[in-house]
Amino acid sequence: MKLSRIFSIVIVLVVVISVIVIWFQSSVQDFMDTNTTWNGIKDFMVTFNASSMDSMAALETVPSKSTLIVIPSLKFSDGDTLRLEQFVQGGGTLILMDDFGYGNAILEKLNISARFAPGILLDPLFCYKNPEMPKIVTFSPAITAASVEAITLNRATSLENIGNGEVLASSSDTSFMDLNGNGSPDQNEPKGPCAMAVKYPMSAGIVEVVADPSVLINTMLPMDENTQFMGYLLGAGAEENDVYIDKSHLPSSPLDIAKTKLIAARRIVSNPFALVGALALVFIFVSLNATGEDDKID
Amino acid sequence: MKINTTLIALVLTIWFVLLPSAVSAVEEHVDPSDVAELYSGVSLLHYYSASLDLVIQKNPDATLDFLSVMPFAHVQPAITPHSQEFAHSAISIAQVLPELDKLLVKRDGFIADARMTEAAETSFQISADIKTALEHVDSLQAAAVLTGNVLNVNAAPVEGDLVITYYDVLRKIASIRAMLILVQNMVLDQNSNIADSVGTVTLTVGSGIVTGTGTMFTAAMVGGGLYVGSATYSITGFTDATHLTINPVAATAATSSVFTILLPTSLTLSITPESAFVGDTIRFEAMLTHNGIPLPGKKVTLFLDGTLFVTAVTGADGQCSGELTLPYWYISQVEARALYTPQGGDVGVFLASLSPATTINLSFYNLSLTGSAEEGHPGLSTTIKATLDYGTSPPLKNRRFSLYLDNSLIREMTSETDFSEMFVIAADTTIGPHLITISSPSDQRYAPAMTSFSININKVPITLELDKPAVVFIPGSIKLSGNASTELGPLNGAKITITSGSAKTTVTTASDGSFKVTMKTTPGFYLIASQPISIQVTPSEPWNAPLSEIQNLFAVYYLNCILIAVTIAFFGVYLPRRLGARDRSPGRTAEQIPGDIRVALPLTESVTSHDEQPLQITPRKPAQEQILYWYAKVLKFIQKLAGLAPRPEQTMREFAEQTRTVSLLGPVSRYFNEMTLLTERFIYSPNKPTESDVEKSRELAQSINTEVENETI
Repeated sequence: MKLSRIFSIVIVLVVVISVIVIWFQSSVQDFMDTNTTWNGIKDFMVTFNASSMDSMAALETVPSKSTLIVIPSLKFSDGDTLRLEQFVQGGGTLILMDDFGYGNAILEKLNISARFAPGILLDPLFCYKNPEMPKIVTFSPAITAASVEAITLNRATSLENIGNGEVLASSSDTSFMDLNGNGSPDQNEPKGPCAMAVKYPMSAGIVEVVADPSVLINTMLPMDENTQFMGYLLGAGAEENDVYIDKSHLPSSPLDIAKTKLIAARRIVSNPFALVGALALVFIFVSLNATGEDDKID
Repeated sequence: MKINTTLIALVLTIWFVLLPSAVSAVEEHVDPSDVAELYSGVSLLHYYSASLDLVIQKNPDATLDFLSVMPFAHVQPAITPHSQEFAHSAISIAQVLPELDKLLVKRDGFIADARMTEAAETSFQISADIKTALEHVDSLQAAAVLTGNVLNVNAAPVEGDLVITYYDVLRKIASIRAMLILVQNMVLDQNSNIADSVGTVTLTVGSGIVTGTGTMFTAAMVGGGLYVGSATYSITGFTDATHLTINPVAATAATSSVFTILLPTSLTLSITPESAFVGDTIRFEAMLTHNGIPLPGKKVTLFLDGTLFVTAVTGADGQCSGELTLPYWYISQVEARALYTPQGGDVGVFLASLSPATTINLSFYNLSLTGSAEEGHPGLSTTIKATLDYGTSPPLKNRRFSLYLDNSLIREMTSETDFSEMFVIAADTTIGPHLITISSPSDQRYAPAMTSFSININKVPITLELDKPAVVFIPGSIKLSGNASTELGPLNGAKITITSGSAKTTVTTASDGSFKVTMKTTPGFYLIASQPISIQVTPSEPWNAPLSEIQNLFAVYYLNCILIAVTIAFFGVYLPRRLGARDRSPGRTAEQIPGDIRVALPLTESVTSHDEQPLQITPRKPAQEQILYWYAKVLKFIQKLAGLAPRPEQTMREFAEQTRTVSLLGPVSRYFNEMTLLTERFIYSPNKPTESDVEKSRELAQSINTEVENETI
C-alpha cells in the first residue's frame, strides 16, 4: 500500500475518532452544561429546561421576561455589562451567582450596593460533613413558604453591604468568614449570620445575588432543598419561564471549545444548502472516479 | 502493526489534549463524595450556650427559631438524640417562663382585688408550671451532660474551649433552675401574704388558740380566715384582742411574721325575666351577706358575659336591684354575674365574692341572606341576586344593604324583599374568582345579616376565523383575512398583529370584526415546510381577552426548490455526462478509450435514431483489445435490446445461444453469436488476433447496427 494512501486513511480515521470522542466524551469543566460528572450542570439544565448562551449578544434576542443566570468566572466587558443592565431594565431576572469571580464588578456597574465578601464562609455546626459545605437554614418567609428548609452550599462566600436588598437566605450563628484560611474563627473575622442570597428590584426587572454558584452543580443540586431554592429564584420574576445560563464567562477547556464548534458545525451542516453543497462534492468525487473506472476494459 | 500503533497514539494524544484543563480548574467547590467528615463539639456547645441565653432572656420565639434548626446540625450520630432532647427541653422552658410572668401578674391583680380564691387557683397553676419547667430543666441538664460524655469532655484539657464551654452550659442551666426555684419560693411566700399583713401570729402544735402580737383581734373576725404560711384556718372564736380560736388545730408549730384575716362574703343574683328580646329592659336583684348578715352600702357590679354593665349599691337589707337594658347582642344566651370587691375601708376586712351565673335567653329577628352572581367581565355590568328569608319574623321595612366586591363598597341600597342589583365591574379588575359580600346592619331586634359568595370575573374569549391560503409560495406574499368575534358580538377596533419570521404586520378589525391583511414572506433555507404564523389579537375593550395563537401554513420555497433542482441536475446529470462526453471526445488520449476508437454507433443510446459516423480504429492499440471493445459494446447493446443479462455461471457462448431464442433479435443474434465465437477464440486460446479479425469484429458490429437501422427487428 502506498504511503500516501496510508496517510489518507490515518487522517480520515483521526478526524472520525476525534469527532466521536468530542461528541460523546463528557466535559469535565466546572459549570459546563454538557458536563455530566460531579461538577457539571447537566442536571440543572435538564431539570429547569434551561438553555445555554454562548455570547451575551444573544441576550438581545431572548424574551424580555426571561431569567438569566450568570457565573462571572471571567471578567465582563463593558458591553456585556451594559447588555445585562438593559436586560434587567427590560423586565428580565438576573441571577448573579459568584464566590471568587468577577461578580463585584457587575454589581458595581449595576449600581447595587451588595458585594461578594472576601474569604470563604465556614460553618462548623450547620454543614454537610465539613465546614466548607455550610447548610443554610434561615430564609425569608417567601422561600420558607416554597418548602425550603435547608440548602447546602459548597465553598461559598457571603454578601455584605446589603443596603435595601431583601435578604432571602442567611447563614447560621455558628458560621464565620475565614479570611486567613486557617479554618478557625479569629477576632477580626466576621461572624454569622451572613447574608447568602439577596434580591433587588431594578426598574422592571429583578437582580438576585447568590454567594455560591456551586448550588447548580450535579452533585449539589439534589442536596437538601437546593432544587426548590433554585426553583424559587428562577420563578421570582419571570412570567415566561425561559431560563438561560451564560457560558461565555466560564473558563472552557479545549474539549468544551471543540464541542461548541462541533455543535455549530452540525447546525451548519443541517442547513439544506450546506447539505446540497456536500452532496455536490460527493457527486463530483464519485463522478470523477466513476468516469475513470469506465475507461478501463480489463 | 505500525498503523495500529500510530492510531492508538493519535487517539491518546487527542484524549489528553482535550482533557487537561479540568485538572487546572480553579477550585470553586469540592466533590461532596470526597469531603472528610469533621465534627465540632465546641461549636455545638457554643450553640447550646447561646440558646440558653435566649431562654434566660425569656424570648420564646427567638429560642424556637434558634433551636428548631437543630436537626440540620452536623453532629456525631451518638449525639443526635441528646441534641434533639436539648432543643426540645430548652424550647419548652423558654415558652413556660413568660407564661409564669403573666400568671404572676394575674395573681397579683387578684390579690389586689382581694379575690383570694382566684389568687389561690393562679398560685396553684404557677406551682404546676414551675414543676413542669423544672422537669424540663432536668432533661436539659441530662442532655447536656450526655453530650459532654460523647464529646469526652472529662478527658479534654481543662483550659480548653470545649471544657470551658461545657461548664458554661451547665452554669446557665443551673441559673435557669435557680430562677424557677426562686419564683416557686416567692409564690409560696406570697401565699402567706395574700392580703395586707398586720402583726405576728403564733401557732402551737395541737392547739386551736392563736396568739397575736402587735395587732388587735376583733369579734367581727369570727367566720373569717387566717392564713399562716401556706395553711388556711377558719376563725371560729374570739377571746380577746390578742387571742383567737381556729379550726383545725395547728398541725405544726409556726410563727408567721404576717397574717391576714378576711371576712367571707356571699352574693346572689336573680334576673327577671330570664328570656327577653335584645334591647328589652330586665330587672335584676342581688344580695350581699357575710355569714348570713346583710352587708349594706356595698357596691355590686353586674357583668354580662364578663362585660361590666351596671353598678348598684346594697341597701340596709344587703340587697340592691335595678333595671338593665339588654344589649343588642344577637346571641341566644348571655351569662349574668354579680361581683363584689371590697373598696375603701372594706379592703383587708372582707373577701370579694362572685355570684353564681344566671343565664338570660336572648331573642331577636334573624334574616337568612343568600346571594348569587353571574360571571362578570371587566368593564361590563353584572347582576347580583339576593334572597331574604325572615322565617316567621316580620320583614324589616327599608332594610339597608351594602354590597362589596372584595373589600370595596360597590353599592348601598334598601330593600324589604328579594332583590337584584346590577353593577359595573371596574375595567382594571383582575380576572379570576372574587368575593361578593352582601351585608345588612342590625336594626334593633333585627340581627345583622351577611353573606359572601364567589363571582368569577373573566375576560371573554375571542374566536378567530382565519382564511389562509392552502399553499404559500416563498418568496412572495401571504394574503390573510378573517373575522374576530366573541360571544358578545363582532370584535370592533381590535388590533391584530401577525408575525411570520421577521415579517410583522398589524391591522385593525372593522365594525363587523372582519380584517384583511397582506404580508411579505420571509425567505428561509427550506424547500417545503410548515410556516408558523403568530397571530395576536389585542381587543380595544377591557372585557375581551387578548388572543394569541400560532397557525401553520404549508409553504413552498420555490426558489430554493429550483436552485436545488438545478444543482442536482448540474452535478448529478449534466456534469457526469459532460465528463463522460469529454472522455469520449477526440481530444482524449488513447489510454482513456481503449483503441482510441471513435464510434458513433448508437448501440448504447437508441435503436431507432442516430447518425451514422465512420468507424475509426487506431492501429496503435493491440488487436485483441479492440475486438474486446467491440464485443463489449455489442454485448451491452444486445442486453438492452433483448432484455437479457448473462448469469454469473453462463459462459459467453451459452449467453450467445440464449440470445438466439429471442425471436425479436432475428439476424442480430446470428451476428452476435459469430462475434462471440471470434472473441472467445482470442480469450481462451493462445492465438493472436490479426487486423482482419479486428476488421471482422467491427464489421459484425456494423452489421448489427445496420440490421437495427433497417428495422429488421
